[in-house]
Amino acid sequence: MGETGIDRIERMVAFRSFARAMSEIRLAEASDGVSPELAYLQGMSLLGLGREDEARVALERIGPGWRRYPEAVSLLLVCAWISDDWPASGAILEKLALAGADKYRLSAARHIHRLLMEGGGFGTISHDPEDSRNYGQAILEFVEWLLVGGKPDKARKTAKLLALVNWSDGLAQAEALYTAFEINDISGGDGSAGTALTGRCLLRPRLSLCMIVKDEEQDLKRSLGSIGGVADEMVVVDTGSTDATADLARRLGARVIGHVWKEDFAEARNRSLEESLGDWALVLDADEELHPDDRELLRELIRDRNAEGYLVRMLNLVGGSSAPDVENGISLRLFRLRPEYRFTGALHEQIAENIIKARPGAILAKSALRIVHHGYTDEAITAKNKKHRNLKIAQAEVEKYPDDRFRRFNLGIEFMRLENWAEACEHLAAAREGPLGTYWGSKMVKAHNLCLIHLNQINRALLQISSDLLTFPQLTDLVYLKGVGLQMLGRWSEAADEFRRCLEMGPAPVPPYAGVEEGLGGHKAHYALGQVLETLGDRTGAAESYLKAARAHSGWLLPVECLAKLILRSEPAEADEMLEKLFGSAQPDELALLAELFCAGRAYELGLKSIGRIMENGQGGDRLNYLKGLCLLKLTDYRAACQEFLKVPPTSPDYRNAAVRACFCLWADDRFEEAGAFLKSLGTERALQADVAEVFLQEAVEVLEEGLRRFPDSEILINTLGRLKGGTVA
Amino acid sequence: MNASPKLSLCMIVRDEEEFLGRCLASVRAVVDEIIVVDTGSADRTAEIARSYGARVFNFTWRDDFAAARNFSLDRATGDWILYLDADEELVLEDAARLRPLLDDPNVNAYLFQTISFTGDTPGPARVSCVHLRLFRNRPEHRYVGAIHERLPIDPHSGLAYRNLRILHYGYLTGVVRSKGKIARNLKILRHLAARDPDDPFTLYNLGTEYLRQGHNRQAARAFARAQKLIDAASGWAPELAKKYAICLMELGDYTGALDQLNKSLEVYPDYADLVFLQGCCRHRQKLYSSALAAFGRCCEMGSPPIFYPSDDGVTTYQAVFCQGLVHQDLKNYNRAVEYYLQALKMKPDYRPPLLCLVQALTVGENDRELLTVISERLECPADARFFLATHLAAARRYTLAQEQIGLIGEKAVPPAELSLLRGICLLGIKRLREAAEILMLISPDSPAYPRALLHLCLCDWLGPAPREASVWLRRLGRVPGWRVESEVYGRFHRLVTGTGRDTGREAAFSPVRAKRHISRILDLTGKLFELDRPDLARLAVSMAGECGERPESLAQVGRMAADFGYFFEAEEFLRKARMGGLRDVAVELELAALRIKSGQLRSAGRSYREILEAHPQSLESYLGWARAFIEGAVKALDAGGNKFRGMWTREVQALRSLPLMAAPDRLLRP
Repeated sequence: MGETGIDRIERMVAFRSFARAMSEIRLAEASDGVSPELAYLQGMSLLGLGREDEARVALERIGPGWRRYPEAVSLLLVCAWISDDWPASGAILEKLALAGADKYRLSAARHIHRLLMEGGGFGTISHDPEDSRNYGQAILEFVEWLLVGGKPDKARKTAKLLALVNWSDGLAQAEALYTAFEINDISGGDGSAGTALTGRCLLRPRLSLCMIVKDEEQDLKRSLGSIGGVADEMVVVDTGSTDATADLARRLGARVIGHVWKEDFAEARNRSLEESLGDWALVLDADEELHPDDRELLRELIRDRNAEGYLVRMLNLVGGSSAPDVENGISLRLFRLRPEYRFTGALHEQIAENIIKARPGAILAKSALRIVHHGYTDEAITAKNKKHRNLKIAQAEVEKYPDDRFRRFNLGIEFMRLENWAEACEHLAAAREGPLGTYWGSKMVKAHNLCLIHLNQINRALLQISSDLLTFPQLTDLVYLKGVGLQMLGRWSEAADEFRRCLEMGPAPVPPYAGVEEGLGGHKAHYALGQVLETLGDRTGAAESYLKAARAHSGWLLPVECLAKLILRSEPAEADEMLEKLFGSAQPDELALLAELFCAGRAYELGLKSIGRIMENGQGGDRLNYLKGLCLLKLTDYRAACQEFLKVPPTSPDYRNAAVRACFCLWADDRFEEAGAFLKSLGTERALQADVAEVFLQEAVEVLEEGLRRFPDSEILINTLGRLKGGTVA
Repeated sequence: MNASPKLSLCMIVRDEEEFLGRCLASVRAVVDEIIVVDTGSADRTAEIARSYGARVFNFTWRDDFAAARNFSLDRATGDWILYLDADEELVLEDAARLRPLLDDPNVNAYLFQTISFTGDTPGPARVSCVHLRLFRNRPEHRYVGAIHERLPIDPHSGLAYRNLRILHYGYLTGVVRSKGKIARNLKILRHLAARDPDDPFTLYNLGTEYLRQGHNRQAARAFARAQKLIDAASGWAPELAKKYAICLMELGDYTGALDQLNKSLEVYPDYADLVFLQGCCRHRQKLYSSALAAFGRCCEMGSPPIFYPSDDGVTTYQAVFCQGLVHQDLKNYNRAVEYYLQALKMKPDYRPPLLCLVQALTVGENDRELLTVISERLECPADARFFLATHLAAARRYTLAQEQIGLIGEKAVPPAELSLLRGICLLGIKRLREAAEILMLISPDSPAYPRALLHLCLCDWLGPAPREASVWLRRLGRVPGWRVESEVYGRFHRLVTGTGRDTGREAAFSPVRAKRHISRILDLTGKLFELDRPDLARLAVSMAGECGERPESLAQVGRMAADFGYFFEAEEFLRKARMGGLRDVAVELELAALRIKSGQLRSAGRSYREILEAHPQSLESYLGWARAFIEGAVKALDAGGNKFRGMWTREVQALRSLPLMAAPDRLLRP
């Protein structure tokens, strides 16, 4: 049992998924035998599972030689308190004194013992602030353990000792603990109208789904489908799928962001957070889904003004999909989108600690929200194992024919599929020694160079590509790889030259070459060139490249997204110029997407221009009418906006939104009678009225936010916004 | 030479009988001889000097300070020379520390801190800087410069600073004026500048005099030239930087001023006065956050090093007070109050925060609490309390003012003034009869008498027998210097009582005094709105027409009407002001706010948008616009004639209790 194993269990305990911790502990004991660490974690887990008698057995096994022995004895003491076993408690107290516990822990334990047993009274306990702090922290530790043991009443009683200490933070920290354990006055309070009302936001908070994916076309529909209609937007960061994931995600209504995988989960997750515009983030993996019964609960949770985030229940399905077993876990998946809340950890990315660090006292509440995880089902494992099975076959082949370069090449490719770049590189390097035929030789050198780039041996790759190009002069893929390598080295203008060369060369001819990737001499090169030019500050050039990329591969919308962002970031005059160029040649569906993106980016004038251009050409549609209305509304031309909204027919998915906004426009235009009549004509639904009010509030929020940008110190702006949006606005 | 070194005091004087005694008394005990060079006194100066044992010499003044000073140095026989001006005084505690300084063989000269009082009386307004005042008597230590003469001593050879302080009374307002110093200095400076137009020091001094007289443009020109020519190592370079920045700021060139300040701060990074000025510029530009940051930085910086001339309090109470002002503009009223209180605590005799606190009382919710805190903070109670009561009454917090009056000892304030204030308060809360009774008791000899008569008129006009006011008007007509008031109130009396019959037969107001007439008419109008008589107020406004109705006055009337809740009148007058050609953000804001009140959300929103297009730094517009939208939300939830009315009461209530909605209307005004 290595260090990491203990760490993992420790983390499970810290997250209070005691059942999982227990099963891990059992496995660890079976393989590595008993250790004091494991016994301690076992004691804690059993305590958390309400089996304090077993916990005592486990803890008794720990001998005085262990470095955290006093902690173990303290935990033992808590077990005794929980089961009201006062004689044992007295005995353990003596043991604690002998165990070499520090004086704070000792006096805290003695005081709690007396308090819980006799309800004893104390005067002020200590006046020295440093002492008080240490003593207070010892008390808090016991409070937490009593909470773990499911005794909130005893915990509260114990926490009263903190009031006697000269340490002001103590009670606040105890409160935070109660909150973490859901013993919360706010949620469990008297439930009067006042608290209920001030505890919730007035404005509907927006939810962003944040997901990172790579080759997930199998699962994506389930996960995105589970959240459709609940989330206000879906942000999918694609870290380099080679299958149809990105297009599928887009079709399911997600915004797809292409992202270069840097072997860092936290970095990719953070990208998904950065791209999100909502007030809350729900982090989901593609092999997970929101429990279908919890959609309402999810909306309810994010209306709470006090919580900064929620621990949700993870239902890990295990076994065959027809009758799977369920393993329970807990994870922080739902939290407010704030720039200071970011993941850390390249492999096991975490965010909870960072939230607490950024906002001490932030409430991370427990919730009943369920997320179902399918990644451990037999099917999922089988699919994953397929690759391993192929690897085993390839390995066996190589063992049988160690000198066969083609078999070794195949083994390298299998390793690449498993992203084991080092092994792959080794085999491919061996395989390419000797004369290379064009057909699989082209495939092999490409794979080898790709591995080198993945292994960050870029200069070596660049050298080798140059020599390989002498052998395969028309293999565009190699030139493209060279561009990628240069890009990673930050040699941008050279990279641009390589991508331009790709475009000059066009796609590599398939006979004689094999394994040629589509688009490297076309749309992908255009796109890569656009990215490089953007980095170099050549906006016009970048815009042209993006447009060409979209043109070269119709239906590929990623470059159009980049284009929109580019225009949004430009100065107005420059943006106009770019747009004029675009209008000359862009297709209606590209313009429609641009309009959509401009609206999302709050560039309503640009949106209006794009829509105008589409309509000029006699094209249009319900969606465009709706978007045009939206732009006009934002530009405060309510009369014209209203007309556009009224054009949206009941059959359109935007009908309801359009109707609500039409009503808003009538109101905002001082046409109250008409607004009332219109509202009546819409039907009997009470919520419609609230929706109209919400549009008003959203407009108010935009004005307030704009004001806050200019006057960041205005308290009335901050407080009003905070009350409207929930939580405090940083 | 083994004996203790001998110290000579040298000074040049002219007509200094007022100050000289104080100066000589402060140093008599420390110096061994006193050399006084008189450049032509006509008063008892020489006599006073001799009475302190001074040797007095006469010297013919020839517009050259250095020559006169050096003449005095030539007469000194001591090993060391202490130099003072007659309007200065050595700080008593420091005099005792002076003699031992003369024994330090490594020092050739000492710097002293000069603290100049700048207000009307020696008080908190002061500027401090350092000057060379004590040096070895050597032939090479002689002054140069016809004005603002300097000693050419190398700062690197034995110059020391030991915290000795000199108080300087010569910059007090009264003193500057009585001595005609500005005219004298300008004369010398112009002469010097004509002789040597490229001497930066002369240009700097010239700029300083212009700045003192408020000729900012001329000052800026002089400073700009001085800065081009100056040697950055000059001792007066920091002060030039500061004054130039002040000058640019006063001219409204904030970008230029900030540019200047930033550059100077690179050279003098610990000169807090410059940061303070940055704050002032930012505040005037309405860039509140950076203003707060600058003033906050001042507080962190601590007093600037002694060799920078520094205004008192720029790192303490002034910086704190200014943060309060910025928060006030940001509508963070509670925060502003905190800062005012803090400033007041740091400097109890500093009045500006006290005034602001009284104004803050009119918007806050915890008035009484705050007032208690203010009272506790105040030192010299009676005088300050009267000040407080007066301003409370001016802010129309009559009940609070009355409480303060009750706490003032009878003798502390002239009884007539106190009675007047009592009467004003009673009138304010419409206890007319009691008000009249108190006001009637004020004696004709008192300076409060004419003001009492004016208020007595109001008591009668508002009471059952308006005609009775004629008694007071007749008496007012006999008080010299109150003609304008007498005319305005007399005319109004005839309008109210209908005794004027035909206004056409009234003699027109004298056009010479039209401005003063209008201002009195507006005062009267405001008072009448306040006393809930919009009818009489309209009548009063009608008089303004004769003086040539100006849109500014109409706007003011509109604002007053809005103040007292007469929105209909307010809109009418504001619109008239606008039609009269007045283009003013304040008027536009007021009109937009009135539109929210009357439910015209569309035009309110449009007004705010238009204001923001022209003035993006208008906090009030953001607040007002957002308020209009939230009003819209309330309407949508609570609109009449809709089916679900009453089903959203809780939500409506929550919206109404939003900070922006619950705040007083004043929030939407600049």
